[in-house]
Amino acid sequence: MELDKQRHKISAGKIWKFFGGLKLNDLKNTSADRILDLKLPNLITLPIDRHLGTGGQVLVTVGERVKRGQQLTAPDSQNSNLVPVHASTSGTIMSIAPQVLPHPSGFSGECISIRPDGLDESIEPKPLSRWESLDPQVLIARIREFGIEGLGGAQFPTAAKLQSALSESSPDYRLLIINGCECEPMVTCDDRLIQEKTSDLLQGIRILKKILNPSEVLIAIEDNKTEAIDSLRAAINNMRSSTGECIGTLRVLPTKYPQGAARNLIKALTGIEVPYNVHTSKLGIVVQNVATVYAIKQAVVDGLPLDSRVITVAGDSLKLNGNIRVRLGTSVRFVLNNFKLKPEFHQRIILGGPMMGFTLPTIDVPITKSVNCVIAPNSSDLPPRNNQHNCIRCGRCARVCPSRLVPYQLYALSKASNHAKARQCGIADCNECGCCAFICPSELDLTAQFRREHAIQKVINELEQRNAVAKERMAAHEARVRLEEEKKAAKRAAALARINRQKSESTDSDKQQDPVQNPQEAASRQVSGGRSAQAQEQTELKISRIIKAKEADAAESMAAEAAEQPAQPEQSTPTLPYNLKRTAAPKHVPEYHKWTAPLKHVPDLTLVGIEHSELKSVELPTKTPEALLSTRESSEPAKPRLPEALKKNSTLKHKR
Amino acid sequence: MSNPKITTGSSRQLLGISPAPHLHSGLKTGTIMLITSAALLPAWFLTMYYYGFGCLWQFLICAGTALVCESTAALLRSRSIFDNLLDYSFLVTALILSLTIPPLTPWYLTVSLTVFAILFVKQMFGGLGMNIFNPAMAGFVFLLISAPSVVFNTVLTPSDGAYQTATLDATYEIIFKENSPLPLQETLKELSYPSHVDEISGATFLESLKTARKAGGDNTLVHVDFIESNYSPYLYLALAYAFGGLVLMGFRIIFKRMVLVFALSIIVFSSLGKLYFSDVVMPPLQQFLFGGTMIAMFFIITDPVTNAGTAKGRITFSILCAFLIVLIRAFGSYSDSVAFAVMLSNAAAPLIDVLTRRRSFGSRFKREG
Repeated sequence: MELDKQRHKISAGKIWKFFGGLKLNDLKNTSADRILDLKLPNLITLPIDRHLGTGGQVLVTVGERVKRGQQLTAPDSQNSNLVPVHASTSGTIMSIAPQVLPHPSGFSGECISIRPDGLDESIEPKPLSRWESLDPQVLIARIREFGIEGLGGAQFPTAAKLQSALSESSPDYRLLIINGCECEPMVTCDDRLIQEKTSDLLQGIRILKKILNPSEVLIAIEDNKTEAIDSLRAAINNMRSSTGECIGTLRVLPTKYPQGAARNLIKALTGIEVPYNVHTSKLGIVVQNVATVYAIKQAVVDGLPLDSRVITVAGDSLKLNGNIRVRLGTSVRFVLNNFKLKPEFHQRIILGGPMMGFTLPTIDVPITKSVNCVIAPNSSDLPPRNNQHNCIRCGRCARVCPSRLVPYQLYALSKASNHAKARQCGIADCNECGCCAFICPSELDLTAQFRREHAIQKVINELEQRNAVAKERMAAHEARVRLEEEKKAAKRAAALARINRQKSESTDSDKQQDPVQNPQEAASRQVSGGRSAQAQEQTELKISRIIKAKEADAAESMAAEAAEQPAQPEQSTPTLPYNLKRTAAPKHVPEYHKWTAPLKHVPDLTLVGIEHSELKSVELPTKTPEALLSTRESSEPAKPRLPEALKKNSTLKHKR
Repeated sequence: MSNPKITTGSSRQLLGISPAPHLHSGLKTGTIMLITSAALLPAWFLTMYYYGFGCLWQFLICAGTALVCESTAALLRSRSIFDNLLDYSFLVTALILSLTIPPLTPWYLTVSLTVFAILFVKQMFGGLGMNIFNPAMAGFVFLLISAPSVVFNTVLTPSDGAYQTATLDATYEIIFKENSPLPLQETLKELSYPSHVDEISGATFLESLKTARKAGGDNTLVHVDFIESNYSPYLYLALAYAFGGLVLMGFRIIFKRMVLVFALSIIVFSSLGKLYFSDVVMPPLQQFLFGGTMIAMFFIITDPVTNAGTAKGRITFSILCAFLIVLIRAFGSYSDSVAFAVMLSNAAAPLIDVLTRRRSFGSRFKREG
């Protein structure tokens, strides 16, 4: 009943309010700039680390010539979250080696580098003709094979999302939300895409509808994109009048940051708050970015794999601003050069929007599917933050947090290394949208601290899991040892009993041979138990004798074996002059000690600010999370020796 | 390949690195404090008009002492003095102190109460943002408890043109040279109530009310008409505070709902009190206009530091504070209760924080839709 009510409200077009959020200045100066094609770069670098998995393979070798759209890697077939990588232009494979990735810490990862030959030859496109009549699974397989991932920024594999929505949610009510909010300031690539590729978008929505068969399709768009709204509305009406098909309903939402985040958008459109530990697709709610929808259309209808994307290039340090379609793998340096970068002192290059994007440590990094914007601001455009002050607990952060957290409290806990308490207060719900740090009058780096805390939490989680596994193994080991001991004890007891029985039998026969002369004496013997003690002694003696005999046997057999083997010539130590021996020996000893001593050093936990009590449940094998992090900061050129998970999604405090 | 050997280490020095978000609202702590100080100024000038220039001296003493204390604390904690002063929180504390303490308080008491407020109440807990109690209120309570007779003797009655009687020189003599404040006090009282001086026992209305209550009499001893010249200063001062409060609301510095709930609760609690204890509880209008209710409503309970954190918590805080103000005014042994009520609520703020913990995102989530 309540469910029906809710659904009725959703279809009636009610728009809910999500908690917190900000009303930001748009700064969308580029929304009138047409999407242009960027010319081919002189180098394409395609990161493949996150596309391979454990069983993935690289299908090409160095020196090989590839064409545009050619599949370069085959991902692990067990893991449906992985998609293959395609060449984004024709050329020769230059190298398959670690390169710097677009990451705030400048990590490197395995990449395929292609030197384009300028011809831009592509393989034959493989459109799925009559896709309307195909099975959804075929379409999903196509979406996966053609490398489509969420282009909104999270880079979540689209096929996996659709698959989980299909298999894990009930088919009687599914909701498809097309996310055209683009709430970040300055970013206009989705806006332009809606304006220019409206009919393609609708086509893509039809494909998604075919796959999901949703009860409702909502196209969400913020009210500051008037032209996009107009063109979309016109296209929908056009389609309805020409084919009679209702593709979906347009929902114009009031502009508010971060409305483009999936959970906030779902809250705004349906009033449902999906917790952070539940996938939205499991509820039958699928949120797809407009750029992803366009890529789906290209993959299915045109048969082109995802090898380029639209990005916004903005910022006052650039002579030109605008929207461009770039081949994946183009370096940021190439893009900036084409937009005439006039760098200022300590020029910041931001990958992503001004709220959630990160500054790059180097601009020789490729543009990947998750990049939607490159900003080169100058210090008047986006003024750098000054020094931080004390928190005055003004509560503004708590009022704007869309995840309903109390950021100043979390910040204090995280700063004090109180990781257990921070987890209790919901650090896992923080999606690093940056609202709190935007509004903070003390200019605290709240979001940066939360990113750091997320990294630490990840390490702690890993250690906890490892600890749990070790404990399990230890328990199993102990149980096994106990079982063996019990068996041994039982065996021993059985042997003793047997010996006792034999003994008693023999004494009985003794008795029979030697008739009792003094029955009283015999009775008293029996009563006092002296006899049994004697028997015990005798059995022990017997046992020790047996053991000795066995040992002797073993020694004999060993001697025999040794005798059988050919006698090895005795190794004669070369005789050295007396003084030489003396000088050689002490030379090595101190060195040995010198080198082993620091290795034995265990890092002091209190020095890095972790209390023992917090990590009581966590056994630290060698290093504390903070120590691990610090090693990452220091060991820069070398490959980071860190858990795999940490490497990917975490950010660190940058160089101060 | 352009230059594959480029290392992140070398380019890090060339490119600027800063954490997200790269935008900022532009409202900073220093700005907030300056706007708050500016919002206090109309009331401050009006206070000088109705109470004489004692207020100015008090402000100078407070601000000077606070400046020295803040710098000392910054030095002791090896922080930058400049940074410590640039948040201007000492200015707000000094202004509020100069408005709350009696205008003729001897200088050494003002200095010691400011030292107590800044060093003991604020800096010893960790400086700005870490204090549990409102420094200004703690300083005032320090004075009230340690020297009640001085407070009684130095309180002035607001009157039209007091600035002509309590001139700079006259107040200087009393504050710094320890001349007796009594003649000036009497003069101002006569100025204020020319017709029925004898009916008023204390210098302020609340003081005489308390005396009457202690004596077992009825508190409705005089009819209070705020348009009449006797009591009009109270009304104008209240209006000045309200104006400052509106400015703060306009800049979104104070939390509107909190102020509204506070005003509503004062009305509710005092009307209820009037019903059941009609001889000790003042009616709502008098609750607002006498004593420090107005400054508390806009400038003291809205102090973010000593408050509960979330919106719900702040509203609870203001209800508690209003209740305590009405309660202590009716049954306490001091003439005004605002400072005590605020400090008690400050002490309760951490508890309120715990009790009003907000639900986490998606906790009402049900499998639906």
